[in-house]
Amino acid sequence: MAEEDRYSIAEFARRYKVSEKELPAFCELFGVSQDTVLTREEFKGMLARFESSVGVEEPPQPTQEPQEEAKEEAVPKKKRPLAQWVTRKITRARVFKTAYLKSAMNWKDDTKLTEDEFDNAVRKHILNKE
Amino acid sequence: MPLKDLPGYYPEILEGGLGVMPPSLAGLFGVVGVSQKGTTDVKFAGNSDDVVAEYGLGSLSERIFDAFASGAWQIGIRRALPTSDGSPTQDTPVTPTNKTYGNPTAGGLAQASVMLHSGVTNPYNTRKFKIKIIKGGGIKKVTDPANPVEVATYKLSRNNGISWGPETKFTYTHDAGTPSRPACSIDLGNGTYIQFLEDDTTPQNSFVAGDEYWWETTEARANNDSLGDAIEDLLDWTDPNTGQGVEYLYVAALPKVTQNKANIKAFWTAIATKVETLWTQETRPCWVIVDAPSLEEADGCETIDEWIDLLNSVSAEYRHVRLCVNAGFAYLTGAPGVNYGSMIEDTVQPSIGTQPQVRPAGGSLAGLVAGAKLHHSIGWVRYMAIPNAVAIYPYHPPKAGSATISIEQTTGTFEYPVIPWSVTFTVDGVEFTDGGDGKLWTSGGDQKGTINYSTGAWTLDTGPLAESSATYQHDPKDVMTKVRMSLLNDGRFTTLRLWIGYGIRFTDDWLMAPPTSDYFCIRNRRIVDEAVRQVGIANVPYVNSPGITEKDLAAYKADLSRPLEAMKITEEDTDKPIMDYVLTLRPDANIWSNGIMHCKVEIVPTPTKKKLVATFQLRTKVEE
Repeated sequence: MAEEDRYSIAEFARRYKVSEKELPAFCELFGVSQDTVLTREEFKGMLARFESSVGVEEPPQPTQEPQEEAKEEAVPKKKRPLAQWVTRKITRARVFKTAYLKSAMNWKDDTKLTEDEFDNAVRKHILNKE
Repeated sequence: MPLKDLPGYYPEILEGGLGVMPPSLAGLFGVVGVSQKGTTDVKFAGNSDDVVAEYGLGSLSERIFDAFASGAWQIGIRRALPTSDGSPTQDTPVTPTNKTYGNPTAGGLAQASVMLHSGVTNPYNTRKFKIKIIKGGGIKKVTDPANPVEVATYKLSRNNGISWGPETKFTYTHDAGTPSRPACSIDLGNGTYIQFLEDDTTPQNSFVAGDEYWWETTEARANNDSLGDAIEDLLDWTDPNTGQGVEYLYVAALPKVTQNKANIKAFWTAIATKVETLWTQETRPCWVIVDAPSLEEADGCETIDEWIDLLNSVSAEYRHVRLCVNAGFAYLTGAPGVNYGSMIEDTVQPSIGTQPQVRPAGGSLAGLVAGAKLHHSIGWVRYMAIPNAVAIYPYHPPKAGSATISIEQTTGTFEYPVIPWSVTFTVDGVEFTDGGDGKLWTSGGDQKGTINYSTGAWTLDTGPLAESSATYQHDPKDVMTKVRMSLLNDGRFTTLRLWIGYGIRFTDDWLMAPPTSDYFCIRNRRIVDEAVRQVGIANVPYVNSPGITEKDLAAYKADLSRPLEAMKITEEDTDKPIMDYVLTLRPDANIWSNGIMHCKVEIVPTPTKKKLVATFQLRTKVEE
């Protein structure tokens, strides 16, 4: 690998048009910082996984500036894989709780879920509120 | 010596030779349970008194008591925080059911309520209580010839009537109520007490002989969030000196969810996945004991057969080689709380010799394993006694019955024996209930028929004008027969069995493994786990060594073989876990950069004589 083909995440993000809004989520997903230096191939692999994990089932963005309310409604409906919700929202005993959810809900690591779907399952099966 | 030749190099095995054996923590296990107090850090205890001092009375202490009684020597404990209240609470006392003996209008007039002691947030344990009035009367003796009051007596059962304490007088403890009158508070030994208020107008009629008072206290429960945290904390714990974790874990609590097929399976899956992860990611062998839900807890189950069907339906869908599911329930004596007299002001505690209860025998199972040699089955009849087991349960669980009463029908029979105070006829819209005395009464105190509890024969004074109905409970005399045990055995549950002349033993040491698995029994699991663990520890001195070369690979292998050699039978001592073994070491192709040594341990265990293989990696270099 040529030395000059190694750049920071921030630099690659700029080149591959990852928006500034998405960059924190990107870094969180892979546990890296914007200063992390990596190869182009590594970044492209991560980018492909990132793109497949977010926004796939989102409706296409309207060309006009959407209403503020519409933006707020769209956020909770964003689907992410179970593994990603677990990383974001479960801080302790992840193995146990993920396995429980997968068995009780018949989910897999890559099952795409909205935040509400995930929260409801946690509420029912982990917190046993129902 | 060319370095590239190292991978794939197999030296001849050498004798173990002299050397220091790696320390072993085999037999050290952990318990996760729910208690009302105590630390949520992992804490070790060596006897029941220490456990009660830290965690108080309750289901956690009871299971740990069973483990110590059966041979445990040290137990790591992680308390799961309760997340939902039991009953009663400080705000909501429980009113016992007054089972009036005979005529319902002539029952005792005392007011009863079950409450928590101040400072207690939940009952320490789940109990079914009964008080049976032996001699009628009041609470405070009055010698006025015009209105004499004799002090009534009672017997108390803390296990739903399986056994009863001695006849005891109602002791006047204080005045209470409006208007103020004599009261008797009886400490129930689990953070609750029952208070009886004497009737203010006719104190002599406060209690009537034959009446019973029934109630239940339930302990607080934990949810999956809390239990999951506790389970992972304890499984992740490692001894700061040796770096080893517990050999196995006993989960002595079930989450507060409906115990149906999906939820039971999910709970087993979650625990087993954590244990499996420890093995695959950290090469830490471990296994887990979990109790099956009892017949009472199991969703939609009324009979033993329905309970067995439910459990087997789960095991048909889920098996794991590191999971042991205990379906053995027993009437076990001597739980903590036996000799704890009432220390609560204004209460009395009747003296009781023991406090036996029906509970899962998972604690006994865990204790027996701790005391057993790796290759000894906990079902070994000669040695594996469960000292405090009295009877195997489920035993005679009541079953609901119903009948249709035809027009003008005045006689009939129910399935028998019928359980007193369980019969209700609804005849032309009017309810007749039995008073525990073999007679059917209206709520107004009119007798309308009879019921013979022994034969199930009933009579009505007048037949119904329209088709009517009756409900009752009877004892189907269900017990855990050998057939039923074998059904659970087929499902790979661990069960209990009674051996004439010896007593109650575990049927064998089954794991919930797939039918054809080598790890069908705890012995095989323990032997291989110990071998892997010991080889791993024997490898530790080689971490960061200058490098394992062809020249010293033989010595390295001999060092790693030493614990296996020690586990192997000899002519002098055949009571050892393995008959033979083969240790194969294969340096990774990149051993000089990653320090990985591929290790394969092949073992012929003494009890099953079936070759078992474990393949794993040893690290001779600290990872980044």
